[in-house]
Amino acid sequence: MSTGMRAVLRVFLRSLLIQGSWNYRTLLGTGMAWALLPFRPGGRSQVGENGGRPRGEENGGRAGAGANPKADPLPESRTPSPVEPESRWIARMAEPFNAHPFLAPVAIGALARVGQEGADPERIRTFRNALRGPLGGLGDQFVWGAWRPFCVVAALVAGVLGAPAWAVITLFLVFWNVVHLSLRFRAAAIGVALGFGVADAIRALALPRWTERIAPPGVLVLGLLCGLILVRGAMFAGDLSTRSIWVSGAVLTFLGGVAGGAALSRWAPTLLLFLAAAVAWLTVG
Amino acid sequence: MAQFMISRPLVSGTLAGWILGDPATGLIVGGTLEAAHLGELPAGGTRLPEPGPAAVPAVAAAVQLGGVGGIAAGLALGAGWSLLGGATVIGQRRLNGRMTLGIEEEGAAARTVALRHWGCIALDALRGCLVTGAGLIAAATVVGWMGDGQGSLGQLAPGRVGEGEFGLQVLPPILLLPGALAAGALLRGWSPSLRRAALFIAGLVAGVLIAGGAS
Repeated sequence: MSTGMRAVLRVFLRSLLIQGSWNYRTLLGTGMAWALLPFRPGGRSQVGENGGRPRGEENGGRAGAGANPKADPLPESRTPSPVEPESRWIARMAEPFNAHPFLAPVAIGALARVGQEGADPERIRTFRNALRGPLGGLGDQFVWGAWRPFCVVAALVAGVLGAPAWAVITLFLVFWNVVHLSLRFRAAAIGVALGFGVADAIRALALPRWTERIAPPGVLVLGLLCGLILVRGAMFAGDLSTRSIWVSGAVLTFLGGVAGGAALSRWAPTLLLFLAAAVAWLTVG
Repeated sequence: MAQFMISRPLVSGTLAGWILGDPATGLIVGGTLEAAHLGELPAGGTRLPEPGPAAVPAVAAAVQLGGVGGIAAGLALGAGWSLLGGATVIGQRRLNGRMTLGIEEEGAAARTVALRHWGCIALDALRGCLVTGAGLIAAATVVGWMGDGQGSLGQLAPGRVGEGEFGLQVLPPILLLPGALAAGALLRGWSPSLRRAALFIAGLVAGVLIAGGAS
C-alpha cells in the first residue's frame, strides 16, 4: 500500500471518531487535533511519497481540482522550516472548528498535507477557517436534509409493505452506509491529495446537485408512504365517521407539518405520542 | 458516534424487539419513533431529542404490556426518554468542554490529547448505557403501573391496556399522527415545487391503491 493511501485510510478511520470530544467551546477542534496527531511534526504518518518533506509554497498554493498524489509529486529540494514545538502545534489544531463529520476528512487530510509541506501557520489558520462554512453547510443539506430522510422513508415503506424486520433494518443500514462511507473516503482522498487546493474538488462533489436529485424520488416515496399509512390507519379506525375524523386529523397534522417545518417537528411529534399514551391510559381494560 | 446509524430508533428498536422475541413490535415502535423525528435537522450543536437509546425501553414496555395500548405506552415512554436523552447529550458536550479545557490555548502533549479524547468517547458510551439502563427501569415501572406486571425487572408479566373497543379504534390512527406531522415537515424541507407536489400526489395515489388492493 502506498504512503498516500495509508494516509487516506488513517484520515478516514480517524474521522469516524472525530465527534467524540465535540463541545460548545471548540466544537470539533479537539477532535481535529486528535485526528491530526499522526501527522504532527515528528509523527509516524506521512502524506506524500517523499516522506512528507516540505514542498515549495508555489506548488502547495495553487494545486487545482486535477491534482492528486500521483500527478503532484512533492519536490525534495526545499529546506525544512524550523520545527514548531508539539504543544504549540496541537494548540493550533485544537482551535475552534466545525464541519459536517462526513466532510471533515477533507479538512483533516488537507491540514495534514499542508502541515507536512511546511506551510506558514498563519496561512494554515486562514485556510482552516475558510473551510468551516462550506464543509458544514453542504454536508448538512445533503446528508441530514436529503439522504437520511430518504433512507428512513424507503425503509419504512418496505416495513409497511410487509418486509420482515431484518430486511427493513438491513435496507436502511446498507442504503445509508454505502453513501456515508464512500463520501467520507472520497473526502479523505481529496484532502490528502490536494492540500490548499481542495476548493474546486469540494465543488466537483456537486452535493447541492445530489441534494436536488434525491428530492424528486424522495418526494415520490414519501407520498407512497403517506398513502399506505393513510389507508392502513383508516382501516383500523372503526366505522365511517371515525375514519373520516382520522383522515381529516391526519391531513390537518400533515399540513401542520408543512406549515411549521422543522421548528414544529421538534416538539409536536413528542406531544402527539404523549396524547396516544393518555388515550391508552384512559382505555385500560 | 461513528454515525453508522446503528443507534437510530429504527435499528435499536427492532434489535431490542428481536432480543425480546417480538421483532414486529420492535419495528413498529422503532419505526414510529424514527418517523416522528424525520423532519429534524441535526446540524452543528442543535439541541434535539435522542430517540436511539430511548427506543430500547420503549420496545421493552410495548412488548411486555402487549397490544395497541402497550405500543402507545411504549411510544410515550420512548418520547419522554428521548427528551431526557437529548438533555444528557447537552450535559455530555459541556463535560467534554471541561475535559478538553485549555488545549486550544496552552497546547498539550499528544498523549494528553489522545487520553482526553478517548475519555470523552468512553464517557459518552457510559452515558448511553446509563440512559438505556435507567430507561429499562422506567419501562419496568410503567409495566407494573399500567399492566399486570409486578413492576420489577425480573418479574415482568404481559398485561393488556387499551384493548377496549374505543382504544382499538382510536389508538392506531393517533400513533400515526406524529409521522404525518414529520412527513409534512420533510416535504417542506424538500422544497415543494409544482412538479414535486405532483410527484407527491402520484406517490400518495399509488400508496392508497396498493394499500386498498392489499386489503
